[in-house]
Amino acid sequence: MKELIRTDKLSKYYGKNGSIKAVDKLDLKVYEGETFGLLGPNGAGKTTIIRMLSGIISPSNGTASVNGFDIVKQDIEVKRITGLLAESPGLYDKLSAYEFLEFMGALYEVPENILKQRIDHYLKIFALDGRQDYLLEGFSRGMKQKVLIAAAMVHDPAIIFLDEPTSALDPRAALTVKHLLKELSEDAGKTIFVSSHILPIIEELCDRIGIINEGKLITVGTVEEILTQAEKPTLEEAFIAMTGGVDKKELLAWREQGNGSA
Amino acid sequence: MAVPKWLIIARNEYLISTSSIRKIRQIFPFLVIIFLGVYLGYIAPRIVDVLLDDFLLFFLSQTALTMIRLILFMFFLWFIIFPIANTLKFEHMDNKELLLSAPLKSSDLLMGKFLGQAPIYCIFITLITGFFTALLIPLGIDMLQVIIIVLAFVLILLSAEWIGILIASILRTRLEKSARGKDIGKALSMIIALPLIALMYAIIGGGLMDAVESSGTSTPVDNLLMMLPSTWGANIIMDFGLNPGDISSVWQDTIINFGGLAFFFIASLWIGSKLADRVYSLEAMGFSSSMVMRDGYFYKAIKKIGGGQSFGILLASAFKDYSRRYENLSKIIYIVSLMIMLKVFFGSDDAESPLDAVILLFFIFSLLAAFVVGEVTLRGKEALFIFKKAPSGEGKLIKTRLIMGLLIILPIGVLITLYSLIIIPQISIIMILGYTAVMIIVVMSNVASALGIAILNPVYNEKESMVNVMIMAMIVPQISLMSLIFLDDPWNIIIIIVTNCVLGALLLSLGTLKLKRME
Repeated sequence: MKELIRTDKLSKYYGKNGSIKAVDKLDLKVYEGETFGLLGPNGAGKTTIIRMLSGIISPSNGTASVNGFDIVKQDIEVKRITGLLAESPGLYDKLSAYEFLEFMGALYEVPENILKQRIDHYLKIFALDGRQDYLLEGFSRGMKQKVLIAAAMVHDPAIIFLDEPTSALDPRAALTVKHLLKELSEDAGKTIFVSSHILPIIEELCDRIGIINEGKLITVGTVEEILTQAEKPTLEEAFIAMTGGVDKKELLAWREQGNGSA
Repeated sequence: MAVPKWLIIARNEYLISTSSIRKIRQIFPFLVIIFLGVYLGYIAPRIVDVLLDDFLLFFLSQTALTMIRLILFMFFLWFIIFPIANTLKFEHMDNKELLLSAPLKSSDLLMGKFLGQAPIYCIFITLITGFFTALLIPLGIDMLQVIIIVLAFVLILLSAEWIGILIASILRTRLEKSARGKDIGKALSMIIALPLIALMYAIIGGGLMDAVESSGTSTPVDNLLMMLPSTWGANIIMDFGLNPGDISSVWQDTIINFGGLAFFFIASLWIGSKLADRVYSLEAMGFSSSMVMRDGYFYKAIKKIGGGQSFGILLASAFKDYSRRYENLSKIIYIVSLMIMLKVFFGSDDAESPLDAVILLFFIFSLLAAFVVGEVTLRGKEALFIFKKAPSGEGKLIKTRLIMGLLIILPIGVLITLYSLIIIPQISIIMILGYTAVMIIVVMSNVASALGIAILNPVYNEKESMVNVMIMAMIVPQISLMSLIFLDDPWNIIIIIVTNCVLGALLLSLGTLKLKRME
């Protein structure tokens, strides 16, 4: 299988003398048509990895290529062939859903006749076709998320980066996204790189999973491989064991030490 | 004993108001007291010393009563407007549900807010009062009269603060229900002070004093002002000023005026407390959201100007996002109104040269450019990242904003320049066209400079954006006008053009570079 994303000791450091290691020497391969899931606690470096791979920020060290394009030297090509749904994306809330998708298509230079068809298609898929002329400021979080997912795909990219795609969605919308991602991967042959805290989504959708903690990739493999490696029955337990979580008993320990009530 | 709820709210409000100086919060009250002491005992008397002779003449004139009433009315209005303008910026939006879910009465919330902000307002009250008492003490007024004047100021201005907070809270509750309402509120916060500025300009430079003098003592303005508490305070000042050290001769008027003020303060507090339940509410007023029409002739024309295709769509999108915010339009209205007021109240028809006639426009156009294109970062870093993610997105953003800024500001600039030049007697057409061309270049450079500054120092909220506005409005025009000090026509004009162009190109290039490196 063709390697579509390849990172080689990819690192991103912040602070004085690079004291904060947001991403540290990441070696990763993602193959064409694969749905790859990145799991990690808050602040683990997931968003930084996605931002580097989509050409928005430059690495401090190391290299990476996306579909053979170097993310630093050929960032324009990288941007052209990738779509991104950011974790907390900017939204032009004085534009209608249709206008926003039209704007995003124009940013990626999608020809006007194709763009109109594509916008109509995505508005229909996400059941937004009746709301297309309403300003985004009046949309619920879930509806905005649907528009943003459509915006990430409006230029038909080969690789789609999704940072927490279902976190703001209701179960029905989350299911729609899940089905859409499956279709994109299986039928349209898209490569999907998704980061999420919602483990069942990652477990169900992803061919392989990477777990990251404090900027370091701890493990990569299929769900079964990770469960075997962690010697745990569920992905949740494996994730907690690998990233270090709080024991349930510790959560309410303060009640036993004190009065137990306010 | 439990601490009263309004006191807890007041303490919280005070902490919020002083959050920017939290490092010196403990010693802040002492610093303020020391400063105010120095101001009252030394600075204010020194300032008024220079004005004393003129003040004495003014005090004995027929216009004194009306003018003092107008000045106090201006302060009264300012103390009402300030909390409204502040609240309608919708900067601290997240705590309302938190407070309403706590076992608190709405009146506690309102009273706490009022008392929490009162210390800050009291600083301004002291500054204003100190100026007046410093003027009156040399006339020979006694300590009792000073105390009554101080109390009158406190009652007038704290009533105004309370009314302002009450109106602000009611407006906020009504407007925050919808995105459009918030937008209207923000726009209102920008232009609400315009009538006050107009009054101030009319007093300082607009001949309002002369108008009052020529129309006699009992004017319609007088009759209108009689209804206001600020007038009752002005009456006390005038009575004491004309009868210094002799309160017995005006004791009846003093009781009526001061009693009126005290009654007004207590009544407004009582009525406000009764209205408090209507002030705080989380109930939705409606669920309507705005729908847009498909592109009309205007946006189609903008797309054409952008060359049609993708860039045309980008340009039209930028226009839509900008023009649908009332807040943005209110800033343009604010600047244009300010410019008109300056021309009306301070403008001189006999400008010595065309350059004199347009010199103020250098500052005004810089301000306008800062407001219009300076909002590029206000939608947040993530909105900039949408462009950064797109191929050559940084260039597209700069180009879009630059053209949008020019399309908005140039027509305004040309119209105002033409008006400023046409009113000069015996000016030739060549001069008008020549100076208009110069101002077009200045406006274009200003747009580039403002965009460059906004990206070089990206700020993501309205409050901090004022730093960029100040840099643009104060520093850039001064640099470009420096040549006037040591050069004559036409060299100074050439240098002004060159300086503006160089500044614009430099700042925009640096801004573009910064945008590319932004993380």
